Amino acid sequence: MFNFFYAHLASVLILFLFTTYIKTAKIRSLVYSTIVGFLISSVFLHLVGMIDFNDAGELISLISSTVVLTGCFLFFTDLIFNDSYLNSELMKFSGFWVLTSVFLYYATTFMVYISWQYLYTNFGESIQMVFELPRIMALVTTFVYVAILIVRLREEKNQLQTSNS
Amino acid sequence: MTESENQFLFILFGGIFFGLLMTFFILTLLFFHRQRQLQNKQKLEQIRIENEKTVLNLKNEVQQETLAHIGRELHDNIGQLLSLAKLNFQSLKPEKNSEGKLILNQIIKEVRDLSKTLNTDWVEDISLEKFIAQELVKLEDAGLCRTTFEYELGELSLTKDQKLVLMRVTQECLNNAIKHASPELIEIKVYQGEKRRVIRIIDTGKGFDVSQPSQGSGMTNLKKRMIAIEGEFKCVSSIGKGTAIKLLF
Repeated sequence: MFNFFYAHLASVLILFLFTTYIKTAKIRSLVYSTIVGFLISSVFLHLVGMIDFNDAGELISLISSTVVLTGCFLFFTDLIFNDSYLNSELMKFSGFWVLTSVFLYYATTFMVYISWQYLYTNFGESIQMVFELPRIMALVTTFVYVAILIVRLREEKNQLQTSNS
Repeated sequence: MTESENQFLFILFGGIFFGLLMTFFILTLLFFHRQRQLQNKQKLEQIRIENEKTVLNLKNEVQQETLAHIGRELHDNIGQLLSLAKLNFQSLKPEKNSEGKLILNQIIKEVRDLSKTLNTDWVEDISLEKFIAQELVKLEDAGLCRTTFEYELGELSLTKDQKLVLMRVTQECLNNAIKHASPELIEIKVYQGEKRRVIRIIDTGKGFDVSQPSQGSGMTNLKKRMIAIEGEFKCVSSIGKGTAIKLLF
């Protein structure tokens, strides 16, 4: 059940995270449709036997990465066309950094994941560095999240102090 | 180079290219967002200037009307009284002299009253409620139509510009009603709406087709003036059924 928890659940959770940041109702419903479409298509592919429940899953990686990247593009579309962002500084908007790090993680690891089995079969341990890439990117993403969390906590503390004084 | 090495390089460089492409996308997005922000800022600045211009025009209009009123008063009233006083003082009869003194006192009173109209702070001194009530009394006294007035708001916290615009727009609406609709009754109600405060002006006059473009710029000006104070102008009318105007502020 590796893929079920890794590819499906992770992708769906990430897409739900996107919906909390997306302000335009139409775009949010597009993300929900993407989730439903992704679940239906992947269940279908599992049922017809095109994807095994336990393999590393090039096809499922391709689908889930594409789905997450689609979610990212939808978020960025919202960011560009929703007027409520016009008064906010993107660099200071935590949602932008959260989603950009997810986006960059999936963009950089996309090729590795979809060719994982091929690379492992043909090159094995000799290209260990390539297999380390998702881990490094995950570390970078986690670092970004921690940094955002620290900044937010500091901001809240400052706000609390200002309101108290 | 073997085929598998070629494929590996394709995957490697393909991955790097894809990552760089996406990074470029993010940078483009940031640039595009910044451009939109700048455009929006310019647009808002333009609206602000436009609104300031509208209020300034309104103030000029009030000033010109005041000057015209003073000119009329000086010529038709004070000038005549001064001539009369001069004639009385030129007479040798003592009763004419005392009559001249009375006229002189009246002139002093008239000049005092006139100086009050020169005081530009009248907008601050008078409340919106009192102003509307006075305007309606003027209409009733002139026998133009019957009026009713309901005021449900307490003391209003309005800036001088807001108050001036509301007074002028209300006055303009009343003038338009009298001029074009010949109503029997004009009702004004000032109340708190769902989101904003409202001045509702209803007349039982001829009404007009709001879908037809107006020949003058009156309605556009009224809308523009309300926008200048971040308010809204709404008008509902149909031929033979009167007109209802709402000023939201």
